[in-house]
Amino acid sequence: MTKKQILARLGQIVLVLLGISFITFALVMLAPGDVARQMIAGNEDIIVSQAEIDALRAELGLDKPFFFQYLDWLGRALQGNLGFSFMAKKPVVEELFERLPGTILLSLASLVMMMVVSIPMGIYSAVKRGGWIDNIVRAFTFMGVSMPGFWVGLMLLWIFGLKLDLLPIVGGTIGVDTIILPAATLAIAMASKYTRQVRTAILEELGQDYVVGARARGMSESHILWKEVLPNAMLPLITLLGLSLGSLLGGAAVIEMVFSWPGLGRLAIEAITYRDFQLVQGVVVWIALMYMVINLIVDLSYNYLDPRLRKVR
Amino acid sequence: MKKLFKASAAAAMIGLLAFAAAGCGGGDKKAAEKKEVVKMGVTNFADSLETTDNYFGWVVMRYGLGECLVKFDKKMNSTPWLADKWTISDDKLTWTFHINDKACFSNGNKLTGEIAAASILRTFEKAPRAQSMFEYESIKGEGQNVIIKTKKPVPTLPGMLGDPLFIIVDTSTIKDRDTAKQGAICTGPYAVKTYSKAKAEMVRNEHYWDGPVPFKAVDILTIDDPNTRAMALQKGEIDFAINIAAGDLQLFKDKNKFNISEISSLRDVLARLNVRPERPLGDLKVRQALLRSLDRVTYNKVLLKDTFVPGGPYLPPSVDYGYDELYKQDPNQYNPESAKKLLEEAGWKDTNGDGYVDKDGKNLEMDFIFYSGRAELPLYAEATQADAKKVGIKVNLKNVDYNVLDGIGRRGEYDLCISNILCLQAGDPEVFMKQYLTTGQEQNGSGYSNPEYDALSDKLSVEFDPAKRREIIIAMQKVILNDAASLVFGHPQTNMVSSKVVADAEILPCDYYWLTKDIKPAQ
Amino acid sequence: METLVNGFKNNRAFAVTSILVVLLLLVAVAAPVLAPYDPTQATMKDAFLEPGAQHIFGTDKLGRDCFSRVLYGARASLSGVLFLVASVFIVGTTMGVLSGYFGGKVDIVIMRISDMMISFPGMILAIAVAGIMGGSLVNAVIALTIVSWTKYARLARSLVLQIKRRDFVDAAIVNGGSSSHILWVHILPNILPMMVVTAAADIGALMMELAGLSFLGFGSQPPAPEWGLMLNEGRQQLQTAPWLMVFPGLAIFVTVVIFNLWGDNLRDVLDPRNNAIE
Repeated sequence: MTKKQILARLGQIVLVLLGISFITFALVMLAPGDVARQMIAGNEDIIVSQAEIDALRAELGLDKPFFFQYLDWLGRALQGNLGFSFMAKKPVVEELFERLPGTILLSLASLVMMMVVSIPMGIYSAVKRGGWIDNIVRAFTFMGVSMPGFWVGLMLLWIFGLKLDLLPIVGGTIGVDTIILPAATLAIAMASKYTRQVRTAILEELGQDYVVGARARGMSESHILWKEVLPNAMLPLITLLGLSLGSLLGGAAVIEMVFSWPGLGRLAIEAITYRDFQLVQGVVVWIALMYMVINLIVDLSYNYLDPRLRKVR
Repeated sequence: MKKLFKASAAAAMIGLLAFAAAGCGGGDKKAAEKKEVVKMGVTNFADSLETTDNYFGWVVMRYGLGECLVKFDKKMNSTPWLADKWTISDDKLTWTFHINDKACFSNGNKLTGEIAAASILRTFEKAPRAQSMFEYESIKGEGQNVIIKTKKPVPTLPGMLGDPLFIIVDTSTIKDRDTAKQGAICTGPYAVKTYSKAKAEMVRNEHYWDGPVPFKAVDILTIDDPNTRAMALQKGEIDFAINIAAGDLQLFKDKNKFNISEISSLRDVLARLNVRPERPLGDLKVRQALLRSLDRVTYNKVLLKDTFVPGGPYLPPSVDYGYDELYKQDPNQYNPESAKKLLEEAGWKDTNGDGYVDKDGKNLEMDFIFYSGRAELPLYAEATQADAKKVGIKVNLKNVDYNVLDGIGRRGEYDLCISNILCLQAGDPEVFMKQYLTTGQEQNGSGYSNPEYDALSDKLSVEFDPAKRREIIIAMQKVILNDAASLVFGHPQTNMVSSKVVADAEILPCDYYWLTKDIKPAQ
Repeated sequence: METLVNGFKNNRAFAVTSILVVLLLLVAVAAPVLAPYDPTQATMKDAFLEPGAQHIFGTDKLGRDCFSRVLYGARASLSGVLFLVASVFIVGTTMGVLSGYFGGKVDIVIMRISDMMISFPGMILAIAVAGIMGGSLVNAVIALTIVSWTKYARLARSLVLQIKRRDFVDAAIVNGGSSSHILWVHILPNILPMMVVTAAADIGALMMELAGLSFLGFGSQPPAPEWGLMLNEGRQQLQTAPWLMVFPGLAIFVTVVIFNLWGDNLRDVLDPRNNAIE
């Protein structure tokens, strides 16, 4: 990529962020219900008078026209101030940074789990294509991608948390023991997908001319596999891995809810139910930003890693 | 880093306070060896410990941090707490509360009449809701007395001072504290070490005035999901928990492992009925038919596994306002046959054979507004839908966001609108009796207006004599029953379930009191 | 069509999975005949019965027969997901074709919108949409369409760009064919097989997303027997009535497996070139 291309991509990111922030803002503002009622009494079923709600709304500036509120927000956001979260009673930026470690840890843990399983399995089943292990692996990967994550999560919670009593049930904190189940839940679906990807990628490479040539030159199968095939097969996977990391860093909302994991996805859902619009804004913009930046990095590294591509472009 | 600093500062402060012990109270030095630190699982909505903000005082009291002048007992009578006695003048305008001589704050400061008065005045200054409870002429402290002069006679004043809004705080130190994060200095058995909505670390108040405090520390974890709360308790990740869901209580039946403290709470699960003439429920006969089509006894006994008491009368059986008597008199108990008959009398018949009764070509349909924040509400809603169908009434369920419920209720955009609501405020049902059904009330979006009811409601406002108040309230409930003006599904039992490491974990009907000085380690 | 028939004859896996798909659809259609009970009939005295002779999947919180609900659930869930796939397919393909064929400003606008949607956290947008319009199956479908169409738009666009370069399209343009004629006659038929293959392979994944929304309470509403919603309801009784969680989950699982297998085989049949390549 040339410098110009990179600049264009950055400009595009800014535009997309603007669009996203406006849409989110409109959505939250149009949604019925508001943060004032939540702030006063939560879900405690206490009768709250309209006067009390109106007073608080005025205090928070929620009575101003929608567009002004957005401009207000935008103006401050440009100065790096994403506003104040009513729900968390602290600046949005601070709350985001507090949830960040949870999300990063969970993303990394699940990615590691995923790779530990899927790369060897994918390679093995590609090399032994058609063998019984290949068939078993393929059956499992099929099952893995066909189970809804939240269901897998609840079943794991039920089995490992309750029946076998091996792992804790109360989430909400980050720990070696609490991360296992949510990470495993995420990893199961991903590992299934990646095992298939690795397998196809390797099969594809194995069919290439250079492999035939190498065999003809009498190179050992293991040399062909490790030195020639693998590096080439792994390259396209980087893109995929980047995409996965991008969406994982955006928080796996449903799974985080099931395990009450303190990450960004859960924060987003909580913020939406709480109608804490500044926080919703902050989370959404943040997630989108993270996703796009990681994609950009992936594209750049792709260029860097694959000299063929660099020339073509 | 900042957080760490704050936490250690707080810890250091508490340590210092412990050294500065002087004069009053005196902690329990030989605290039970059994279990020093326990964990409690709760639900929590408050992100701050400022008692005058919103309803956050509830949490301050529930967590054993703050106390009021007055406490409610099992029957919801006002009993002494920080105030050991009170009197009222002959003109019914001046109340004198005497503060217990032993009472002191967790920093060792003695609680005087002056500080108590200042604390009450602070509440008035900061919380608009206080003014809606009563208006005062003057509030001042004299020695150990707090003297309150009201503008009008307020029969329920002691009860109002039992509301967590009037938690007594140490006004002499309040300037130095971040009351949202640290809370004010209060008088309760526990003091706050760290607080967030997700987790609070409470530590023993070494100066507690009212006897020894059993635990060195109590960690209170917010586990809003009832299912997870139950699982956590089962596994011993927490030692006691508030409000285990109906379906899960059976998991704790083993008496050797768990204690269940259960009591009928002060709540109604009721559906407001929209009785405006243009609505189907505007017709008394249709209302009666609807009520009679619902098998409320089965809902509570089977579906909710006896964790709810069947409803009928407007007020729950936990308070002494004639529940048993009124329940028997309820003309609209389950009777599907008579429900069908009533519908026919009202002109509703199934002419097109679709299973629903109709009139002038239109089916008898009604919108049932519910929200799913509490597990029993969708259940009642779905049960209503199923039962009403059996007599030919079509009930359309509308699941709404909890936030919008108040507005829908006020504007009357419903036929049935269910909520789980606290019937007593400040120990008295007056506000509740009026809010949905008295003509002209803000919350009365139902269109219900009955002069007889309004007259009783006016009388109640000025009546001081408890016996007479009770009579009036029972009369009002009779009017509601006869008019089929409200659909009370049931009354939740509230519970606290504790594992065997904890003793005397008792729940009271009033849900202000969770962590108290009485909960102690098992022997 | 011919390829499909041939595929059915020659590709055994495709034949088998196609039959399974038809069976699934049959179950959905014939639910009233197969189900032993009315799925909304509440016999409250029989709430929470364990699976047994009377109710092979047990009963739920209102005493409704879980087996009948799972069977009827096939209707709600399948029609929901087919509706969703169709709407994603139509919206995405249309946008992609317009973008690829006309290029220029249209292309820029559509592709920028699609960039935006792709970096939008999908589930969160869906929840926000459902929050405004209220939870319902239709709204969940709309929400998921909004976040999923971009994939189809991009694919359709790139396919159109490839085809546009071919001679027969140039010939048609030179001969003065109208845009709509070229689109309908030359372009659509050529991109359709690939688009259909993609859509078929997506049915399973979309089904799980739809169930996910229902699970969070933003999709189907009670008393509809829909699998995601049943899981949501069953979740509260995970300990005391685990069968309420197990069976609807299995139903989703089996259905998704069948559709995924079928989608894979359909791709083999329609697009043999792609046999080994993802």
